[in-house]
Amino acid sequence: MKRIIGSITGLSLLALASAVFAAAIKLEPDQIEFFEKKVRPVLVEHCYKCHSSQPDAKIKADLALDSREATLKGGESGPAVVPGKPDKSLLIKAIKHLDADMAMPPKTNKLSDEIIANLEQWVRMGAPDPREATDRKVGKVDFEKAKEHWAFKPVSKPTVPKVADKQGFVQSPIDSFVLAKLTEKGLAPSSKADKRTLLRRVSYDLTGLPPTPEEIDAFLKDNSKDAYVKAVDRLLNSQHFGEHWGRLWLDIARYADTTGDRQNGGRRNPLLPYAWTYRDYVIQSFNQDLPYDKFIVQQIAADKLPESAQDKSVLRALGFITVGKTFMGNENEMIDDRIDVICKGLMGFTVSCARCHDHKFDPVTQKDYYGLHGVFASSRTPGEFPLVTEPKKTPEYEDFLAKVAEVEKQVEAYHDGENSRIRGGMLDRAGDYLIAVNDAITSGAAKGGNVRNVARKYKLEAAIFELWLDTVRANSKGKTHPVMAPWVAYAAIPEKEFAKQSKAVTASLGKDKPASAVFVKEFQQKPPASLKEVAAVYTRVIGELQKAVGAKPFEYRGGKTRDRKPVGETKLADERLEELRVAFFDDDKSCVSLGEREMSKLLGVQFRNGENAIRSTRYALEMSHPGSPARAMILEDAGKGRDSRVMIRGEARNLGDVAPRQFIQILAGPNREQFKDGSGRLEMARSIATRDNPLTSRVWANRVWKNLFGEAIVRTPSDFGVRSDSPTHPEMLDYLADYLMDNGWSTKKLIRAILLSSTYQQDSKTKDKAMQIDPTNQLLWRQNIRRLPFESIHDTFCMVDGTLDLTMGGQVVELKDMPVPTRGRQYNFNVDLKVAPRRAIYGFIGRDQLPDAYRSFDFSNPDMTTGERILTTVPQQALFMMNSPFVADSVRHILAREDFKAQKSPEDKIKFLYRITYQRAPTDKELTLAKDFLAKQMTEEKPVVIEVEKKIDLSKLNQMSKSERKAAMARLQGSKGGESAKALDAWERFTQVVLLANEFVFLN
Amino acid sequence: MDPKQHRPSAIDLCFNRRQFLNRFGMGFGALSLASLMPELSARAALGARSLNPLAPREPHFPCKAKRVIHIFCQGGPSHLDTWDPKPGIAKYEGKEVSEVGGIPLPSPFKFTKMGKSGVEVSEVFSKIGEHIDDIAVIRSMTTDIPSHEFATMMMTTGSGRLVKPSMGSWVLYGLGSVNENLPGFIALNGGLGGAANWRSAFLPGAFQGTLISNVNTSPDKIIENIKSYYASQPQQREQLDLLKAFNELHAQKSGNEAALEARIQSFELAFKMQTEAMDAFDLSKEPQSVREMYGTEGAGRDMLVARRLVEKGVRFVQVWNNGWDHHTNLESNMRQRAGAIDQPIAALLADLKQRGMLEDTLVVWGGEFGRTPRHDKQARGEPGRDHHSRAFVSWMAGGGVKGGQAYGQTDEFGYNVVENKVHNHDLHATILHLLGFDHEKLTYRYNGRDFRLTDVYGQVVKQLVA
Repeated sequence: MKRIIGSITGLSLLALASAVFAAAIKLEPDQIEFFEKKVRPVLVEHCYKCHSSQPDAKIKADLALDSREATLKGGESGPAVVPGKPDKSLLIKAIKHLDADMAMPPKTNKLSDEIIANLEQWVRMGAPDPREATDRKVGKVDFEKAKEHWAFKPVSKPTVPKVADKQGFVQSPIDSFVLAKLTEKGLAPSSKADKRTLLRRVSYDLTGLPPTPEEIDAFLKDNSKDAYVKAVDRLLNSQHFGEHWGRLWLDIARYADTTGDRQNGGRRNPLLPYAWTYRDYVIQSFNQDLPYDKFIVQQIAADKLPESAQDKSVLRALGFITVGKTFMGNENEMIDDRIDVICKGLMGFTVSCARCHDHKFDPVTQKDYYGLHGVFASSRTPGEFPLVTEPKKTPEYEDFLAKVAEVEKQVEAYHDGENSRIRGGMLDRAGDYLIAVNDAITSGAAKGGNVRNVARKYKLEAAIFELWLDTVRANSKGKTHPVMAPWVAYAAIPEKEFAKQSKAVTASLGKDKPASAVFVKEFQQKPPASLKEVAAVYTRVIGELQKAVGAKPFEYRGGKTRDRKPVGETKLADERLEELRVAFFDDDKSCVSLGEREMSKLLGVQFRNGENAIRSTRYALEMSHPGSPARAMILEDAGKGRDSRVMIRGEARNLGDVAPRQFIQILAGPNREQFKDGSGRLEMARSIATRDNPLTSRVWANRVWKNLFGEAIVRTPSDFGVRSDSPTHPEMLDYLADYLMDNGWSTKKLIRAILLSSTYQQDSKTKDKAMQIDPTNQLLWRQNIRRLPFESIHDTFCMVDGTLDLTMGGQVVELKDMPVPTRGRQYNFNVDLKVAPRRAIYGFIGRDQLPDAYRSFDFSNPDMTTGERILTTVPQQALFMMNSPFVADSVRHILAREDFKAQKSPEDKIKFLYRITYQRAPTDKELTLAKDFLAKQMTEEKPVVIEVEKKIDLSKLNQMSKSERKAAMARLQGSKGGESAKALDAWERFTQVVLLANEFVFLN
Repeated sequence: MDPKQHRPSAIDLCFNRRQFLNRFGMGFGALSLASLMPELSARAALGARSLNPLAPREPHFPCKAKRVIHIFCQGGPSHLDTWDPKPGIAKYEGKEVSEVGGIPLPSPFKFTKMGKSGVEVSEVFSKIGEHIDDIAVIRSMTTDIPSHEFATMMMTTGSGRLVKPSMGSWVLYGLGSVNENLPGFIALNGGLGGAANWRSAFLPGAFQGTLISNVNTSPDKIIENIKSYYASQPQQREQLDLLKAFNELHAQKSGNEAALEARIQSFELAFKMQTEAMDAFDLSKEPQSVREMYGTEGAGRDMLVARRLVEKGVRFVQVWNNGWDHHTNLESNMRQRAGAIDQPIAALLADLKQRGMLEDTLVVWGGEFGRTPRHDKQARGEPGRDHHSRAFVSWMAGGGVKGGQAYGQTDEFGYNVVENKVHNHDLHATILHLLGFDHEKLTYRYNGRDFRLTDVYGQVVKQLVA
């Protein structure tokens, strides 16, 4: 209890400390805007150099003006600003040069009157100031002190402790480190686990799969001294090693097959069709034991490595950066995600905390953050990802190409159809638009803002209607275009007066204002009796023009994009129409602009949405079509590289100083060099993957350890900062990190060294004395009992029931009985995935769309880098085991196995089940329990009546109420079990119990 | 201490001690820790029964509210047509008014003073209005950005952008659940943005909201795997008995391991949950009169299920009521949407009160933002209003709320808040306060920082508290 009480005191202190985080003052947006636009730039430009705590600046007269607090506090002469009172504010006095001694900026550099007025107004407003306090002493990162933190010290070569070893425990230096600590506390290590337990443990730890019964037999029979070493080496060389360790890595890489965005009416397809190529790269890299430093460099900058020119498959590595969320296209969020995965994932460094302010605890500044920000702001994903290899002309590939071409054709057809409908209508139905516009203007609807409503009433295109409305409005006052002049004149006649006044209007056409000859002639020949007739003339004449020009709608010529004029420059022979052609197609100030800029402003979104909706089906093809060739999700440099500016408080519009692209100061030193090579990604990668970086090797060694013990040496594996947990065995951590680097960054060698230690091979039984002294086994007096991760549970079920398809790599599949939930149309990707009993690593991972089983079994959150899954034990897991179709199917598959059916007696059958599930024979007690259970169940066996959902009669759907229909559809979609469910018989129920037992999912 | 009694402490199962002290500890002041710790050590002796992250906990200070029903009307319900009357707008009809950036649209609805308090209520909510003396209307709500996705997440999680735990997750984290057989935080129906609105983010998965699609009227479709199609209950009982026997033999070999024991218990819980959860959603268990009062379709069903859930100990129910984005046809849309929830919510309030549950159940109503006093220029039909984040309305009832008041004030158009501004973060702070938490101390350590629902903002609005 003493320990706990000690902790409570510590806790309340911490709780107090957290309360010190004062709530920031909230300012109105317009106040912030005023400050940011009119005040901050002045202060930065004219005052900071001598009055701020910014690096390279001075604090003259003890006055700092770079925070709200400091400004209010003032310097030697008193407060610089008295909110609301410009005449009492020294700052204002100084800039007005009212006092020669205090005139600022000094000498003749007086600020402009406008600036002075702005600052006065600001003070009058109460001096709203969003700048956070950067107390010079507290706020500044103390790099010297930070270097004393263990994680920032260089990795040492610790001396292996000499320790009395009566048990003969020490097999490797690791054991010496562990034993030394245990001895210190009066504890002893546990004995070696039995061979069966050991092989099961090492099989799961290396491949994520259980040993086969044959492997167990062989291992038990092998009495040679190096039997265990041989087993370890066999497993390290297994292809399944990469699948298991690859999956552990994918947690860190926050891997998923979707972007996390919603569909937005089908406009945005959230699929990442090629994420799997990164997953395969990871698996292969682990299997080939790619040195860890190279692994890092490839994942950050493969595109800049010479080897990627020869072997495009290396480019797949960049998925590490690109498989993250896309945040509805928000670039800064994406960059933040990338900085986070790199810094936390590779270095256990929470750099992303410095996005809005210097890190509160760790030695990382906002400038450090934006230095890295610039690296990613200078990188981009290309429009099309490169092929991993040249695709072979297989029938599947040809079919894929044909299907993609079809999609593109649909896009084109859509484009053409919409274009001609809209623009065709625009000119063909000119009169209709004009009449509608007139209605809107005279009825006042145009004023109320509901113009689109009018367009709808006339069944016209709203965007084009607005264009005509603007045109008519513009021509009604001031300058009138000759083409519009007749219309404007006629439209000005009140409706009832038309017959009376129109003659005079006709007569005056072209007299006081220039009017287009075509129209003047038309109207003089046949004076209109109503405005409708005027409109009809417009429709007819402009329609003729359209025909004569004959250009395809929305084709543009010359000039820069978005500034181009429509095609239609060929002179027309018909003089009458040529005047109009010039007006509509040539003249910049044409009456109705058909220019590209205007059009895309009006219709751009509408078009893009329509197009994207069609094109998005292409993503589904790319993801699931068997002929879709693999592409690498690369990142590449965008030009020479550009530094980002610090975003004050993380706000994109609130820019501060330029932050040069360079590595983090605490790791690279104050004299670090700026990145020179393009974006700087390669230089950044090399600064991470080096012996000089004290974090990288430690973080990886710690993660490797965690994967083999369930608990890490530093129990905050993605945070090695000053608030992290101290290593339980600091020297051992350094020993392992050093071992890793000394052995060419070989992950397999490091794993092997750990597996061959006695520490790893201990059994996992609890011991009372040790439990009391060290209940959480920090000192490693035993191996931990561990629950299998979700993937291993899944894979083991499939392996035991004989269905597991061990095919490696390739496109994602839907795992058997793990349907991807399609919650609402927003996340319905319409992708037709193959359903297959593959290993879980090959299953589709939709962000926000994980099957419930993933969540309840603590699968990592793919939205962010995950260094440790927090394991929970919740009843949902038990429900899955008891009631899910996945488990029921598995049970049935087991009993359908030929080798099970070959077993004759009940006892043989039971033994068989034990052998394939626990790799051992049942004890007598277990055998008795099993037999009794079966005997009782068999005698009581009678047809079980289980309520099964009534079949939904689809033909009745139309007769259902809206909510009934909704419910029925939901039921159809979610139906598993459902009517296909059949009750389990006695043997099946028994088998299920075997699979439910703790022994099946725990690793001793 | 008897060594045999010394099992790993309660949290070791789901969170080991390190995780507990680092992360959880920060969540509770010294006062509550004192009450928490003895409980833990006592429970440690009970074994894994208590090894549950959802075990009930005391808040920072005594309070009334024990649970929350958050009726979230997604889309941005108009404050001007519901709870914030602006009769003065009428005189500007048809005129461009620069203060509102367009032509003001007067509310087509009549407002009446209701209850003893005489707070004005729109005709569309005349039934809820009958409970006005229990309701605190906040007329001065404000949020940051008038985009649905951002503001929705802002309301549900306190952050429009970043991945943060939902308010329900924070409440569950703070209080635990008093019914281990049901999820402690349930999102009914769901809506825009999906799971982002009820996820636990960096809080452990146990605090994640469980989405339940209430259009499924058959209770067994509501929680995954809640019903077995493969064995009868008695058969399952026998399976579990055999399982227990096997597991005990296994435990004898492995030693006293809390994780093993917890998993044994989880099967027992799951077994009970099968009946209990089914029961919660089975409205046929309610008397006809109650069902009629609520209505058994749509929102009526939602409210009744919500009441049954909180009654059974669910801590936080987030009821999604979608379809409040009335750019067009404000009048008819509003009559339809409000008409669909008026009686059900009134029934919920009456029912809670009659059961004595309104005292300790906090009911929160509101959307993610309000609507402009001006016409929506893009309206595609009869007039409507555009998104508006500067002012909107939420209301709270029960759970220690000081009812019968309209708090805060907007300008004559309802465009800007002019008095007693309540930011989204302030509402969150106040909700946590009503549940007994200092919002600045209900924190969780992640990435070396102590996160909280209100980020670095939030002030409790004491005037809303009775």
